Amino acid sequence: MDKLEKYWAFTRVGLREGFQYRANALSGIGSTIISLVLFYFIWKAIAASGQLAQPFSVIISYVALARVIDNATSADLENWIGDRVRKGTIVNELKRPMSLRFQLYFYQLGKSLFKLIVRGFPALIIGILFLNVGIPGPVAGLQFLFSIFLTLNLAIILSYATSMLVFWTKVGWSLRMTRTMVAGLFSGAMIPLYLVPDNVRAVFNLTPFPSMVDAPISIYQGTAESVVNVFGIQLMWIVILVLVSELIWRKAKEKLTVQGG
Amino acid sequence: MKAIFRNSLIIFLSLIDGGLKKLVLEVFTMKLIKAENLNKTFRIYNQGEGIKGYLKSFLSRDYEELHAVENLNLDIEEGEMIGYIGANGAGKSTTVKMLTGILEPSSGKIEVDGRNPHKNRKKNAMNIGVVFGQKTQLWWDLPVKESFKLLKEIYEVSDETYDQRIEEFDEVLQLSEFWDQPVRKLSLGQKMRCELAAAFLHHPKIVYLDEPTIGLDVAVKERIRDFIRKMNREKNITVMLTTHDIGDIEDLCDRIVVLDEGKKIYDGELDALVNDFSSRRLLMDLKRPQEFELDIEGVSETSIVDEGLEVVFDRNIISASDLMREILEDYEVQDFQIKEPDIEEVVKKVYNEGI
Repeated sequence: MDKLEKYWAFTRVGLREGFQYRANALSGIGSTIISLVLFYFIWKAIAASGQLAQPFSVIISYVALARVIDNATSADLENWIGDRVRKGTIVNELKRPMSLRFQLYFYQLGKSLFKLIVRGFPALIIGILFLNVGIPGPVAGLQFLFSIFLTLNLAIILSYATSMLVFWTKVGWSLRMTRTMVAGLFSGAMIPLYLVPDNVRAVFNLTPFPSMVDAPISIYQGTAESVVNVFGIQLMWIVILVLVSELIWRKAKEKLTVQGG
Repeated sequence: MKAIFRNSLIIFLSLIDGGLKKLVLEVFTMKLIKAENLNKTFRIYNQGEGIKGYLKSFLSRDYEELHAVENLNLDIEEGEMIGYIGANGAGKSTTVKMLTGILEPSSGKIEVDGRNPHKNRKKNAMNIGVVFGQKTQLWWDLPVKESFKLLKEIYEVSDETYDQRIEEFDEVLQLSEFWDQPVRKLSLGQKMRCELAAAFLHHPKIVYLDEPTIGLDVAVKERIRDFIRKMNREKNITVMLTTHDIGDIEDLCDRIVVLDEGKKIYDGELDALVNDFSSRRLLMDLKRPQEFELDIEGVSETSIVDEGLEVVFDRNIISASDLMREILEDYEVQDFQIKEPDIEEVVKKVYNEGI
C-alpha cells in the first residue's frame, strides 16, 4: 500500500473542484430544493386519491428524506471517465504510479463529501422545517450518519462499476442515465419502498439499491428492525460491488492494454 | 615449467582484463531502454461509407489488423536525447505508450531501467515523466498550483525539494505569471510550460515528450527547448522526444530514430542522415541559362529557378569543386553558390519515400 497522502491528495482535488465554482454549487442546492417541491406536489396529488396505506404526512417525510439522500450522495464517474476515454486523456491517469480505481475512488470521495456538506445539510434542514422529516435522537442520528457514509461508498463504487463499461460504450452519459433510472426506482428515491408489494420488494432486495436510500431512512425514522442488520447488508453490498467492479475492470484493462481502448 | 606458468598467467590476466572491460563498458554505458522485436497489432473495424455502410458496420463489424509497430529494436542509453520522428500514424505514440506501460506489446520484449514497464507499471511510473502533447494532465478547473501539489504527493517529493524545484523551473519557464490561475484560462503556451514542469518535477530517469511544441509560437518553443536541454545536461535525464518540428530535432537531438508505418527505417546521427540522404545543389548566375547543357556523371537534374540555374548533384560521385571546374571550362559563370541540405527537406523526403 502506498502512502495515504497520495490518495488524500485526490480527495482534496475533488473537494477543491466543488468549492471552485460558487454558482455551480448554488445551482446544485437549488435543484435539490426544486426536486423537494416537485415531489411534494406529486405525492400530495397521489395522496388525494385516498388509496394509500399511509397518511400523506408519513409519506412526505419519507419522500423528502429520500430526495435529500439521493441528491447528496449521487456520484458521477461515468461522464468523467467517458470524457477521458473519448478524448484519449485517460492516458494521463494510466501513466501515474497509482491504480486507476483508487485515483477515481478518492477523487469522487472528495466530490461526494462536498455534495454531502453543501447540498445535503441545507436540504435536510428544509425537510425538517417544512416537510415533517423530524429529528432523530442522538444515537439514531449517529447511526444515520454512519449509514449515510456507507451509502456514499455504495454510490461511488456503483458509479465506478458502471463507469468501467465506458471502455465498451465510449459514452458515459447513457450509462449514467440508465444507472440513475434503475437506482431511482429500486432504492426508494422515488417511491417509498413500504408502498411496494411484498413480492416485488423481495426482488428489489436482491439488488444493492435499497441499501442506498431506504436503509438510511429506516435508521433515521427508527423503522429498522435491527440497525446492525442494516449496516451488515450495506457492507455486504459494498463488498459485492467491489468484486464486481474489479471483474469489469479486469476485462476493461485487457481491452485497453491489448486493443488500445 | 616456468613458461607454462607464465603463459597461463597471461591468459588468466587477459581473461580478467576482458571481463573487466566488459563490466566497465556495461556500467558506464547503461542501456536504460531496451526493446527487442517489439510488435503491436490493433484490431480495427471498417466504418463503411454512406448511410448503408454505416448501418452495416453498426450491425456487423468486419475487423482488420493494423500493425502499429513492427519488429522494433531500440537501445537508448542513459543521458541521451533521442528524436523519435515519423509521419502521423507511424507508430510513435504507440511506442511511447508501450514504454510507459500503458499498452501491452503484442509480442517482443521491453526493458526500461531493468523492468518490464507493463508488468511493473507503477514502479516504472515513479521513474518516468510523460507529456502527451495535446492531452493535458492538469486539472482543468483548478489553479495551476493545485495540480502541482497533487503531483508532489503522487511522486513523493519532499516539501523542501518541491519548493526548490518550482523556483528553479520558474526561472526558465516563468510559471509564477499564472501560478494562481485556473488552467482553463491559460494560453496554449502557458499550459505547455506547465506540462513540461509537471513531467520533470520528480526528476525522473526518463522523460517521454510526445509533441511538446505543437502549435506554439517561436518564443515559447525556444523557452521549452532551453528547459529540456537544461534538464538533460544538468540532471542527466534521458529524453525521448516525438515531434514533427524539425527545429526541436536540430536543437536538441544528437540521435534520431525514424519510423515509417510501424517500422524503423533509420537510427543514427542526424548529421549522417542529412549527409547521406540529401543531394547538394549548385546555384549559378549565367548569361544565357537556356543554352546550358551538362552531361557529367553525378548530376541528376538541372533546372531554372528564381535565383538562376540550379544543378542537383551527388557529392559522393562528384565534388562541388570538380563540378564547378568542369562547368567553367564551357561556360562563363558570374556567381556560384552551394546550397547546403535542408533538414526539413530531408525529413520530408524520408517521410514520403522512405530510405
